Amino acid sequence: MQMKEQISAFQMALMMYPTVLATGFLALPSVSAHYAGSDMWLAPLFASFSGFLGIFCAVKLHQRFPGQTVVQYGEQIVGRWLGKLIGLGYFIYLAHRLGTISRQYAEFVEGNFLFRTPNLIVICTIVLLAGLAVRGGIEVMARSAVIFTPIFIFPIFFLLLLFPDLNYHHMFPVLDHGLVPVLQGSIAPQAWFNEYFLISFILPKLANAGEGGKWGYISFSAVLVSLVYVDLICLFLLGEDTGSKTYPVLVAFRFLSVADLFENLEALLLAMWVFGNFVKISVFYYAAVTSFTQCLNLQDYRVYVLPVGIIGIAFSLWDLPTYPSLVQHLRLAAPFEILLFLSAIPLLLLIIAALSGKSKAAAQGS
Amino acid sequence: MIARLMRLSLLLPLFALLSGCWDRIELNDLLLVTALAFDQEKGQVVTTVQFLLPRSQTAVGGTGGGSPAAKQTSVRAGKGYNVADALSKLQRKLPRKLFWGQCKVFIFGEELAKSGIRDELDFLIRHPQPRERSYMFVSRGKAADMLEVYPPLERSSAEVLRELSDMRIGYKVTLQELNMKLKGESRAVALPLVSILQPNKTADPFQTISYIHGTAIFHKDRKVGDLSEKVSQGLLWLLNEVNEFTVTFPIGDSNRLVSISPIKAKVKLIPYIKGDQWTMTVRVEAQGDMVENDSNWNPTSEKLLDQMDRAFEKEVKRYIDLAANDIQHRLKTDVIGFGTAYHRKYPKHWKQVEDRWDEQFQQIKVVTKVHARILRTGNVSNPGGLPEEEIKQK
Repeated sequence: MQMKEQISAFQMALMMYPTVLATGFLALPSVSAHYAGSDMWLAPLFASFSGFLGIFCAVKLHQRFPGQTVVQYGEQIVGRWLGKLIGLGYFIYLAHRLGTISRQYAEFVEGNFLFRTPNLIVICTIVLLAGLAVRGGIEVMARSAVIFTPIFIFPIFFLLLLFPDLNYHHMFPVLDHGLVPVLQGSIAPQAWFNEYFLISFILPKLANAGEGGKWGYISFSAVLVSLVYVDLICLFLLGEDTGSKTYPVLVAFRFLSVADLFENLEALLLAMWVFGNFVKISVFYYAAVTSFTQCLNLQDYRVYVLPVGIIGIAFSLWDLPTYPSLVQHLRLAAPFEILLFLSAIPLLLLIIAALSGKSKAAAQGS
Repeated sequence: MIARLMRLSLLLPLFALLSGCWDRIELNDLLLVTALAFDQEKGQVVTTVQFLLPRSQTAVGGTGGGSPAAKQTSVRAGKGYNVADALSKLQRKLPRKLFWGQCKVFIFGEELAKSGIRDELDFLIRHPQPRERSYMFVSRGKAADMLEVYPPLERSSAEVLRELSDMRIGYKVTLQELNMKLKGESRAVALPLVSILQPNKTADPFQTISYIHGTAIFHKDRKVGDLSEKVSQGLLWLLNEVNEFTVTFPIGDSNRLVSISPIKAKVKLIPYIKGDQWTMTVRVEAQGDMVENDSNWNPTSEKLLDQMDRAFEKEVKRYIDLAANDIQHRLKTDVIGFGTAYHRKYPKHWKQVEDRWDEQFQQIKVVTKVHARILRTGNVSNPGGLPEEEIKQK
């Protein structure tokens, strides 16, 4: 048996914030603006539905099967073999995401700060660090999130110093091209928000599981507000040009200049990015390792942390030779991958469980 | 215990990464670039960098501190098929690596500006080193010449240009704005035009500055014309960039002058469409303090002050109408942002004229409405140095 480790729902909320936004801040404004233009800031609002859905599914399923993750109750809901297949699917998906996230992180660091450092070194160092945290257990991860998440959030307030350069007229005319581009632009944020279903892996570890849903929604609302805020800053500063920037938020940080004194603040963004991604990668890492061990009914998960990390690193380089290919993947493939595993499957499981009246109590009773 | 130490020692290699992995750079391997100039020469682009000379070096090589305006910058140029190529060739002639963190000024040469700046712009906006907040200029003549001069004040001629722009007496366009305007509704932009100031009689031939004088008008990425210094002032009014101006205007029949400074102004563009007639109302609220009164009018008289206000309004209106007319009918290029204003207020009408905006722009009727007020009359009420009986009291 694994050690009895417990964290609080509040800690979970702090872990999930950077889990969505660490890559979200950098990628989403650009992707949304690519489709929705000056209505980009509406995209997160339209997408918010999927975040609430993810949390709702995770919480409802956890109420039926307390103490279990999606891999465990999946088996109980749809039967052993299909359940194992779903579990394996989750493992492969999560390991793959672990890879693409660390690659995204490395590409950003590489393209803007450490031009000559090999990609692999940047990826390996962050995965190794996250691996140490995962090996330390969920408590270690939660405690580091308590320290790192505020550091991650703090720098975005610096963007308010851009105030003299912001022009709110950029948001007009609203809905110039109708609703369709906005909905297209909301697909990517939807995928990112869906990651809230990952609380399925954390809920069993909560000391106050009843609070899980509440803190999940609070955390998600914070994500929503932050993303709309960052979208608006980008829009007011860059207008429709946001869509053509690789990292609009980076441009915003580079643009900061207060009294000729505070300049070149992008180092702040890098620090924020490292902290946020550490939390994000370790959450995905933890979920990947957990789904692996639970799928195969293995005892001590710690042994498998390193091998799973190596698989993740392999995924980070596999089939993604260049940055544009990563962008293509994130823009076109990843949303569907994410929607399948973090929205469609959970929803189906919940519907089947509800219709067949399956729950942990029912399983034990029979 | 020993096993533990062994394990800890495994962390030691991590220290090797602290210096920045493969990207470790020593300060004395860097060349601090202050400005970049782009010129065209036989179909190729010449990129000139202006860089700071490290201080210790100037002290040894200079005149020993005797001259207050020792040269603190130097320039070097590279020629290539495009900017990146030119820079790589330039780097071969420089013992230190170009560092752009302090580079805030980019100047396009006149000839290059006429044949298009898109290639250079793409490099600047794509490369991670140039900063989006950098200031953009166009030079009269060769851009490299603007960097050759060294100013009596400030460290470099680039710094002078930046300070001049910051004072907002001239017009300031950042790299990001330039990119946005060229992509924007009217695909046009106005950039400050710089030229070299004639050096003082006692100064060395190159001891001078480049300064902002006039405006260059770009349509798409090509320079299509210039605005004179006077019309440029009017453009600043239209762009709502008026700050620290001095407005001087004649009053009464004697045509004696009155000056108001600094001017605070708010300018609003209000688009309006009625039938086929597109009208743009330029509504101006201007105010400022009197700093010079050459007439014999007593400005504390309510009636006379009111007449002065009207003359002030007339002068502002003259500036604006002059610029609007010049831009609309001579250059036929919407650098004022009328297109953006119409797009925001009339998105449906905009779609109909989007493709032929340049023609439509010329058809727009500009109505200027100025409300100007003189707020204070300075430290004296009556005209200075004038006997009481010659003052016109009302």
